[in-house]
Amino acid sequence: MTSVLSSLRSSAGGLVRPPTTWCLLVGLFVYSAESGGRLLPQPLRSHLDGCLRCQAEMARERQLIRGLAAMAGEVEVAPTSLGLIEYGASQIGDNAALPRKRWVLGATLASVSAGTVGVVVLVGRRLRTAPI
Amino acid sequence: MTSGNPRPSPKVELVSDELVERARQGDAVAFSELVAIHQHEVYTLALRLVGNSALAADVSQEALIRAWRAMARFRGDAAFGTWLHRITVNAAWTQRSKAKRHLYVDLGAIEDRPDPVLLNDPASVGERLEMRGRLSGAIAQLSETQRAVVVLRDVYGWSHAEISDALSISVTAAKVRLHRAHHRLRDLLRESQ
Repeated sequence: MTSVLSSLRSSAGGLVRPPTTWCLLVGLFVYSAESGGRLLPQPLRSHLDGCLRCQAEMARERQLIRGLAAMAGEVEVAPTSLGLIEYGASQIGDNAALPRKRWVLGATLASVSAGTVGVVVLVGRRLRTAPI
Repeated sequence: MTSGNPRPSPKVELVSDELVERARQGDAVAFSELVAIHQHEVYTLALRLVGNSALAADVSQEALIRAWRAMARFRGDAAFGTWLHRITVNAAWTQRSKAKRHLYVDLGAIEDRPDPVLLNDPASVGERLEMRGRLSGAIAQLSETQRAVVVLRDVYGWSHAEISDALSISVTAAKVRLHRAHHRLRDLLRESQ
């Protein structure tokens, strides 16, 4: 708050009225109002119309949102080392298709083994309990 | 180094769809071509999230490796680029402790890099570049989570739900961090004027 006041004081070259509760409320709503998420409530809009401090804050928010949105259209050129990936696929190995095939094969073998063990156990029991 | 990012033409998208399908079948050459198309976008997103060019290159590599490994599971519900962005965010987020360690090393390098746009036509784009430089500097001073929320929401247009999912935070936390980040960015921009 002190820095805000000092910056306003220096820019205006004189004493600046401290922010009111309305100013603080506008500060809370300023992002949602500028990003189109919510409309500024009527009492705050009325305050905004007559408060240069809040108008400046709103202008800064607008500038910020525009600046951020403009960044979407800009691309940093990747360093050449990133090109390693272009032949890296062969070094990394096959993609997920292979591990999945291995997993399916392993699961099938495990099921067959379990089934075989079950059959052996059942046959063994039957042989033991069968009347002589 | 920064360049404009024109939207891909329908022809490029068709080529990309064909490449995606081939890459899904395990064609490494097709995947390499996809990488050539998308690597700069991936790197840019990584750089904006981690604020460090060396770490951004690592994150990009990691993201592309993850993408290759998960390629067979790509169903095409979203565009390939969107899917790749999501993987990049996950990769960046898992390396955030590393990013913290290197945060102050490369920030200067990002701003000091020569810009071809500036060299070509300084008068017409000077103001925008000046704002972008100040904005990049201010974003770099945010906390990791605040930076990620701002970049994903305001630059890439993600919803709060998508952000909360990717960063493992609640939607409310995402909104609060965005609000605080904007407040801080406004202060930082005012101070840098």
